[in-house]
Amino acid sequence: MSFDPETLYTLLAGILLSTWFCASLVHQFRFKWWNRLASFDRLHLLPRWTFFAPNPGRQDLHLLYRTWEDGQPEAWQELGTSAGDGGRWRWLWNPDRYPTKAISDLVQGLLVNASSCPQDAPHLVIFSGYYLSLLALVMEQRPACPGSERQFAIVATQGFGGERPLDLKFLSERHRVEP
Amino acid sequence: MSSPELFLALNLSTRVAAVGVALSGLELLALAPQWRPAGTFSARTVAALHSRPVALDVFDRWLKPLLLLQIGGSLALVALGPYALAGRLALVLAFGATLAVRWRRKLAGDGAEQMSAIILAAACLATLPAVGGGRVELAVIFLAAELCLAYTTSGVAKLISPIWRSGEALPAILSTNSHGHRNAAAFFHRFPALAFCASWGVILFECLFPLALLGPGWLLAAALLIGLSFHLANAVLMGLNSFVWAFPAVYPCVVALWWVYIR
Repeated sequence: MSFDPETLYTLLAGILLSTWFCASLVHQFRFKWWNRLASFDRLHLLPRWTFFAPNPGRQDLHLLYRTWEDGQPEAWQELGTSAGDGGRWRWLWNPDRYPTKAISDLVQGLLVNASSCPQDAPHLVIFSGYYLSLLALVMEQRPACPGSERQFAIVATQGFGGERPLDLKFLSERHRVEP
Repeated sequence: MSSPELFLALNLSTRVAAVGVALSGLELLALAPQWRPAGTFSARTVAALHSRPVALDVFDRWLKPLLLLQIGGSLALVALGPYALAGRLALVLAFGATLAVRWRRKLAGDGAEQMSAIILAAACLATLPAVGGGRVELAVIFLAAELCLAYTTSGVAKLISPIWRSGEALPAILSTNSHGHRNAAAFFHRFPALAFCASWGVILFECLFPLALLGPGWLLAAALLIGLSFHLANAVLMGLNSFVWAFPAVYPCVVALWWVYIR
């Protein structure tokens, strides 16, 4: 009796693909028990297909930072690119979406973390990965004098250009710039 | 032995997805300053998101070669297809490099990138170590099912959302700087009835897409044409360019399934 390896490959592929599809299906529901399992998906192979629903982003979130020198704050600077209408070729070529989306991921992650902190200890958010990541990003911006401090803020706006009302969503602690 | 239509479908799907993967690689290569210190993907920024310490600055020595591998492998895959020996090698290299770059970036992932990875992974399972007819069939069924799941989930999530049902979501999204379009937003604000119709058009298309697989050929052709127009409109108005390749890439699998099992 001869063994056909193709039968084994087909069986394995069938098990793998059907498991993957079932996992994708469960992943759409955001069950707490499942989220713990899904956190092992380091390569992001489990998709979440809700796309702009049920609560689409209706505001733009901006990351701002400023330096404090001798106890005096400098002007706020915005970090990251704004896609805007993005030019006539953005349907084909749109690299700007990466840094814009990266900053959006970070600030949204931080806002979620901040809202889930205990009410009597909101400062715990500074230990979250998103906070540390944003802090690393603003600390790396144009050099500041050692001993000065940096602070960042998340601000929401609505609509395009011109004068828009700003909605402060988050204000970080001040962090000393190390030499 | 699987039908030749199924082989053709996986071949086309893989090649179209590979175009999108190559394009994404080129975009990421063009963003070189973003990978350096002070960039959004700098090693220190991304390392803070990892649960364990990772030496991303060491990994970054391989970043440019990996991006070139992603681009080169994908272009070779477009040219050779996933069945030739060299094509299969290109498939593995492109898929591996894409996953490695995605792991390094950690941020700014999207559904198009996931769909492309799913297509390449399914193609790997169907063609490695050698092309298997049964596995090609399984891969085509899996990809078509994943596309139906994607559209249905997205449609149902919109259907249960009051802001989508009222027609307010579309002009609101188009009014953002990140995914918006000034003229389109102004148009929909001026004609809210059209925004309402467009929102319901999207909801119905996405919810009902799987039913097109069970209907006559003209219905499936119409559904796929609407789908393609939908992704093109999203690319033009919202800058979601990668979706034009990733999602329509699966359409050949949907057509082949209909052709082989339902027609």
